[in-house]
Amino acid sequence: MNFTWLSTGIWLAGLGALATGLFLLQRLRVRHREVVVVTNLFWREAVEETRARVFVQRFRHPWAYLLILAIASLVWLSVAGPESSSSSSREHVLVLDTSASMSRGDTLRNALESVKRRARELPRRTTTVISAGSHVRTLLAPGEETPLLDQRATNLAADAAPSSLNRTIRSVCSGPLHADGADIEVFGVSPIDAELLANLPKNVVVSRASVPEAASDNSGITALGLSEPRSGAWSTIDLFVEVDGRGSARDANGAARGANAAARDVPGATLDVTAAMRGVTATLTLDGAPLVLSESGPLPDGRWRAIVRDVSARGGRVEARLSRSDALSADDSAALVLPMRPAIRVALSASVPSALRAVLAADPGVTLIVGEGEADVVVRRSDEAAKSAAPALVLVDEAAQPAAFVLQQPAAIDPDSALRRSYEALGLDEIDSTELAARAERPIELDLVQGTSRGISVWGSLFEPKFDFTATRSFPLFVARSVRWLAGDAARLGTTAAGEVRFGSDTAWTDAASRLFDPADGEVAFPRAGDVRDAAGRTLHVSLLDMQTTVLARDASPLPAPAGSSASGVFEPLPWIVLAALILLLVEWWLVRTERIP
Amino acid sequence: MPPRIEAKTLCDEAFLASLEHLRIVARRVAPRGRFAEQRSKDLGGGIEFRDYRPYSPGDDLRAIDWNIYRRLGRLFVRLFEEQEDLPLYLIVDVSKSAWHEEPPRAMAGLRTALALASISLGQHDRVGIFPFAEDLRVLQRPKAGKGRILHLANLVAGIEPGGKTDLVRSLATFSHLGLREGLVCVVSDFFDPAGIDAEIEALRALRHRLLLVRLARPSDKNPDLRGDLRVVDCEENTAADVSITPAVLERYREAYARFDTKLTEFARSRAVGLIEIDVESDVVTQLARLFEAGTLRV
Repeated sequence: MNFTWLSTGIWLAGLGALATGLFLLQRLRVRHREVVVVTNLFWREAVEETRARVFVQRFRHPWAYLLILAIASLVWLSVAGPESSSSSSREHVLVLDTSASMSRGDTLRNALESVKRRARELPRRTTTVISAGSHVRTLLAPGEETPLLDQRATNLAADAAPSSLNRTIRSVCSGPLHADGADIEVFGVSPIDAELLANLPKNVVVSRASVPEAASDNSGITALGLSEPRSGAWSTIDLFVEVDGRGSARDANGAARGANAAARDVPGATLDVTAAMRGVTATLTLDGAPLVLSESGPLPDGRWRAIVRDVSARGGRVEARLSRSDALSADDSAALVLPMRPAIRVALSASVPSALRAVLAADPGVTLIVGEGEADVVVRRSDEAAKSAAPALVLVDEAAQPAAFVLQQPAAIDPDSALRRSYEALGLDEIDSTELAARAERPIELDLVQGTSRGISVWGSLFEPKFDFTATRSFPLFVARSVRWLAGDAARLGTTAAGEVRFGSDTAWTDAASRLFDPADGEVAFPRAGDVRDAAGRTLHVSLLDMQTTVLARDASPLPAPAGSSASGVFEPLPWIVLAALILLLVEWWLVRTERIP
Repeated sequence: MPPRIEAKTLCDEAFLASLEHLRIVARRVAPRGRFAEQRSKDLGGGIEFRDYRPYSPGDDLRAIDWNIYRRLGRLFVRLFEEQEDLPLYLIVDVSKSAWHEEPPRAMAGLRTALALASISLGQHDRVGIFPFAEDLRVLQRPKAGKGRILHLANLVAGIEPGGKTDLVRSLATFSHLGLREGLVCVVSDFFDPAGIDAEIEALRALRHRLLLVRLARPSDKNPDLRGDLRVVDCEENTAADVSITPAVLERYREAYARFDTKLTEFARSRAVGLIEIDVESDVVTQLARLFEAGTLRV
């Protein structure tokens, strides 16, 4: 027997205090009720012996004392919250999956009812109930009463977020566990990594409770993204969308016939996969106007992909939406905001090497202008005075700067990470630095300094013929990327997916519920789908875009088999203790009524 | 202070009418009484023939039985049974305990006394009333007359509640009054702190016929008390702490039974009439039931 609220020592001490207190009360002088009678002649004769009931004299009613002590002990026992010791040696963690895959019909409600039933069966002292959706939330902590679970789960709903079961189980296993181990019971349909299950601690058993599932017929958008345009045009971007539209139309063989289906592969505003996917149609719009598909066709895994090439990168909201709603609505639409990619205005000084000028002139994303006043980026030598505050690519004397490349940018939380990202962003990883070092007869180094704005200082001698840098294939890449890096974030792609996908951003974002998402290490993750805004008012649409959720929502059969069996129910002593106390109270009442005890 | 009892409450026409058929008959009353309806030990000028005795000078010549003289040649006079009265002395308990409960025992006691008085006055007997508490006092010396009952009722209604019960002292006081032998009727609960033994000794010392009217209520025998109590005597203010258990109740009943037995044994051994009146029931009905064929023989 264990106690939820009191230690065994405290309980025993309390019991001793109760016994002592009741004993003293039995021995205390009785406060008599005064009754005036005609004569007390006969009472005096009758009470000749009863006058012995005074302080520190013989104990008069041992059976009454034992009875009231038994009742008080049972009440004290119920206060201590006793639990059967046979089943409380292991920790029980009930994980309720509240990801998007549970939003089909009554699946979440059924799972929640199963959790409640199971929580009532398990010992409260060692049972934890948590929900795993966009966030992990504790619904019932060890020792708390199960009615709290009902209260906390009143408005529980599935999040438009990918499954976090793996993360949750990993978190539970990494925390302090009971010495005898833990039983983790999953109530949900999302899969669990086989690798995770294989590497669990030996005293941890993960099992999956059976949850009645609603019938489903799901199709969903599994990807909506942007890529650099195949045409190379700076002011355009390629757009793609992937749809899993097999729905419940899977035949008995279970094979996706999409790959061999004779879908209409005609460019148009609508991705029509009717033939293979039983009438699922996806529409793709830019600010409400349909986009014309460049390509569409099946992928090897049975999904369908459509591509829209050379979409003008001038902002605007792209939305993909399925024609038919189904059991899982979170994956029926996705959206992104196109980047703003206007031509970068670059002002060149007269002393700039001709090779650099030629590369910039050939860049379709760059417009060469005269005068630094309206320039987005300035290219000049270090001995020329700056005429504007625009970010500059400065050619410096080799003797004046130890490092060949010096990047300047505002203070970063993690300078090393910022340097690494900048190194890749500028295409410096493509430069043959060994060759350059050999020709310069000194190391080619990269350095990062802090400043109010971005800037690049590079040896001007690198552009001279002796280095042969201008003749390499990495030179135009370095120039193009340097100009774009200096121009700022306007070139960023405006889309991301919910869950653990990291979105590159140095600013904080806020969702519709005013939840704040701070960047860490220059990246930020959004746990659930929906629009988020930054301090500058820019909107970013976070889409579900989780193929696993879409596929599972339609057919959960690929889930791994439950590992281990669920724990058996436990004996709850509390109701029996209360019942025993009530029976003893009735016995006492009967004894008093029949005047067997005073 | 309990409220005074109205004379009309104690005695009204219906009350008197219900008593008309009741009689108290003595076997022989003491001699030298007033002419009345009770058979006396005196022999004289009554109606019913009782005996003969030899003539002695001075006897009434009209009493000589000349038939006997003719047969025997000797003079005998006829003796007739005298009919005299039986004085009724009502010794009524008006101590504090008689007024304590509701209905008060005094109500039943006074109504019983008036009922007996009414019956005796109806038989031309003299009736005296002597209320007692700590001591006896004379409320009404023995007097006869049917019409006195209402006067007695008014007197009784004016009785003030007394203090402690002291029947022993009260009976001693009564003995010193030197009254002619009659019927002493003690109306009381007999809860004298001196104890039943002292009461019996005092009763035994009386040179009168005795009729004991015991005022009782059911709770005397089976008290309806529970819990831890401090039982306070209403007259003496003495207290007894008691936790009432079945065992204690049993001992109480045993004590009460001893008291009851002693009083009953005394009545039986002295051929004393003992009447128990339930103070919570109608007095006349109970008296009528106790008077066999309407007659109480003392």
